[in-house]
Amino acid sequence: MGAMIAMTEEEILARAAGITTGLKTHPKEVAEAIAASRRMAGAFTRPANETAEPMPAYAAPLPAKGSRA
Amino acid sequence: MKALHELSLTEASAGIARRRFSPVEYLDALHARANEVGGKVNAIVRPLWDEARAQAVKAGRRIARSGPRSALDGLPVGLKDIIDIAGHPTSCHSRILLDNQKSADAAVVARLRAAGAIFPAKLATHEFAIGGPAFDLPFPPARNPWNTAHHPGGSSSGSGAAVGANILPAALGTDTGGSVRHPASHCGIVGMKATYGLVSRRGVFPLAFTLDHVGPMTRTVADNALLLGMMAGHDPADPGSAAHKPENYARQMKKGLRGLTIGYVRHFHEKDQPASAEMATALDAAAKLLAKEGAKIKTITLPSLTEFAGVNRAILMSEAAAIHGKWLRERPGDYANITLRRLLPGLFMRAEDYVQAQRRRRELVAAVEAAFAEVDLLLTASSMDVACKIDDAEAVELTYPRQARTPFNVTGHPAMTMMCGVSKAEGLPLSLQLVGPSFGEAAIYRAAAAYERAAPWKDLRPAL
Repeated sequence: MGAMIAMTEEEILARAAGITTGLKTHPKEVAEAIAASRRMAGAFTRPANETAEPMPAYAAPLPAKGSRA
Repeated sequence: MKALHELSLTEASAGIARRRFSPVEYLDALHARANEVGGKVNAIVRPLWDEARAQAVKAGRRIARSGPRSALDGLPVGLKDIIDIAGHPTSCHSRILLDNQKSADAAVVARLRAAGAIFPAKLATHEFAIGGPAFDLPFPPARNPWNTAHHPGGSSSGSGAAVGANILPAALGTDTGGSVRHPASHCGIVGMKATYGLVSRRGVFPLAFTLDHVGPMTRTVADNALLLGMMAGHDPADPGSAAHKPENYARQMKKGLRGLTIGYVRHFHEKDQPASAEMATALDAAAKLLAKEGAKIKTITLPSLTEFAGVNRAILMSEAAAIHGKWLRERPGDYANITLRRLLPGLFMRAEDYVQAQRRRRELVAAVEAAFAEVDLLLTASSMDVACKIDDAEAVELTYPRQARTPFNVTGHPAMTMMCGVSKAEGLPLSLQLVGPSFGEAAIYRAAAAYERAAPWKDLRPAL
């Protein structure tokens, strides 16, 4: 079993987002982005109805011209 | 008497039809104006004057032979450099796409070209229509023609600056969180974000698929109506395009305001994001003038600006991250620092947050729709302040929350910004916003034209 490598929360999130290069070259910007994304996620009210449909609703494509359907 | 370069599209069209001057003479006058003041406002990133002149020569011959193809025949329109034109790169004002050569016109450019329009310049933008005024990019940022030390607004910054500075009579911008209306607000011109899907986005570099709009930017309401009429139309190749018949938006413009009820959304600028005293006074004065001209004014309450802005950001960031993810991961240093900082949060938004924002969006749409059961149009603030200094990073950052434009990217309703005064303190334009029900552009133009006729701002231009 390999040794556990201690990582900061920022490192874990940056790895999960695939932004390892950015974490090395722009660590301050990546840390700001993580904080900003948390603020943004909490910046609006969640609909009270758990089954509310998001916009835009999916619509199946109409049969194409010449379709065999 | 106006100089040639000061003529609006409508005035130039009439002058050409009456053979008072040719499309080439008009274009040459604009080219001379660009040479005179272009270096002060940095509106143009790719000049195409020679190609446009050849098109103007052809248009002149065509008009002499058989009359104009349309009211736009032989007339120039600038393009924000995220909109494709065949034979030239679409750089998005970024070093990442400096060589992004395009072989076909964007659908909206093709429509205008078919009407006879010519395209003398690609115009500055905030990088990928999201950055901000940046000094670490291949092209300098556009500047405000009313005072070049100030921000012209963005992201369609070059479009606002070129039209405001009389370098071009009209330009196309794009608007995902207010990017046509922000420069219109700061440059003292007319900017329209039409109903989502009315104008095709095909061939326009996307920022956020469900929020992006292409819009006309002009100095007069009549020009805006003329240009939108030529831009609009269903495009089966754009999945968001609306199957709505193009209209003659100019037809209702002389009708005046009698019979219209306008909902004044005061809380946007009085409570949610308190506007500067001069902006608030100018908005109240505009409401009074609209009432004097015959409209019934009624106070309307919508959800708070914070709610609309929160939903806009969550959607915009998530959708933009899907577009920019590869470049953000592989070459983050190739973005301007301000663009990198704006785009990076999208990589950390959770899928659940995106879906929650799209669910909340439906509720916000319903709230605005309910308002349109009571009124024909809405009057709101556009910007809460006049343009700040372009090199004041903190103040520039504040211009993004301190506005009331994003609600109508979230809902897709048409919204127009126009000038409603000049700040006595700073000599910079003040602005208002008129919003209509979906596909209610004709009513917006009707009210805007009546306001423009009654207010004293129409011929006020910056002394560059």
